[in-house]
Amino acid sequence: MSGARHMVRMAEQVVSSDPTDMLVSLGLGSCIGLAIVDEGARVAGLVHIVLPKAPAGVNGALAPKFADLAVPKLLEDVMAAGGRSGNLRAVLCGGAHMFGNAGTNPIMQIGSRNAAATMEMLQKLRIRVRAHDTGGSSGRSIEVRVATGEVYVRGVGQQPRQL
Amino acid sequence: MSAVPRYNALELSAVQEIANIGAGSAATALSLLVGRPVDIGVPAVELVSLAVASERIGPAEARVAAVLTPVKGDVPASLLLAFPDDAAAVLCGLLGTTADSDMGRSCLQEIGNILTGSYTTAIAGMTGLAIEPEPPLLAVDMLGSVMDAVLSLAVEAADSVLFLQTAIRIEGVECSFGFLFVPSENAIPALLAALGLA
Repeated sequence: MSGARHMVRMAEQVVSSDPTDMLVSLGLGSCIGLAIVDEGARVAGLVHIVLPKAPAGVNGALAPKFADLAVPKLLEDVMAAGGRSGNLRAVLCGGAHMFGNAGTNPIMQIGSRNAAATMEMLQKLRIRVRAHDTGGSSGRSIEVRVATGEVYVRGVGQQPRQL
Repeated sequence: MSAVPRYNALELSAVQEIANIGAGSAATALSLLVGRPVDIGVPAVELVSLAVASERIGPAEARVAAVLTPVKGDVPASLLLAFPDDAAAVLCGLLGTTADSDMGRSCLQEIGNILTGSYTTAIAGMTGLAIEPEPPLLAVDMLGSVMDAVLSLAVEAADSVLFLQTAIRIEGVECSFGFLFVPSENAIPALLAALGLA
């Protein structure tokens, strides 16, 4: 699977040490696209987080879905693929309120809760955040280049912007 | 804990029939509104993983005008009307406005209100369940980003989601769009019980 554009869909995670790979999540809304990269070691991982916290007893295979399980899992897998703890940087985007005028409806606050839970786990695991673009009311796509550790984000009808 | 709920063929076809009756009623309401015949497709009932759910509706980066109606009561659910750009333009044109204007946006929201009202009233009449639509919300953005917001409301413990999709087409013009019913994971048993299947 050399030189592939790996699609990282809802509740999925992909980690790669192939410098020709790109990791992509299209159309993140309230979900979070979290990349952890080690640009020197040319290792990167991307996870598509759906909810802030796993319910009790959840199946371990569902870890990428929940921020509290997804961040440690991604860290572990990026390290296993050759990432070095001092060099890891996180980049995240998403966590929007797509139906933005629902500000008073707590169930509609999933976007900001996802962003907060992800940031909290990154802090707890002492992973430095290089850049983040979260919140607002617009969808985003994220693209991670394994070779350089570059991360690009793009909204609907927009040009990609480096984070 | 089982991550994948299972439903048998009878249960799925009962749920499909609910979608058919709801969408039929919504189509009648739309037809009255635009003064043209409206066709509905056979509802697709799918139980799929979260990873593929969004792409069953369409390309993740396609721009849509989406009207979301959260539903409370016995069957917590989301109803979503997803108008591709061109369909939104045609529909607004039929109603004497443009999709990019404030008037057009409130028009789409009102269409969402009317269609989901008909859909839920028909289902409530058939099942005797309390189905309470909240005011509709509008987003114009990538289909994937709208879908992930809707799907994240529907599932917590499960990694798969059941949804019912009906294609609606206004005859004589290029206007087709999708009507999506996404019951939350704990709403399906209530629906099936009301139909005498649980």
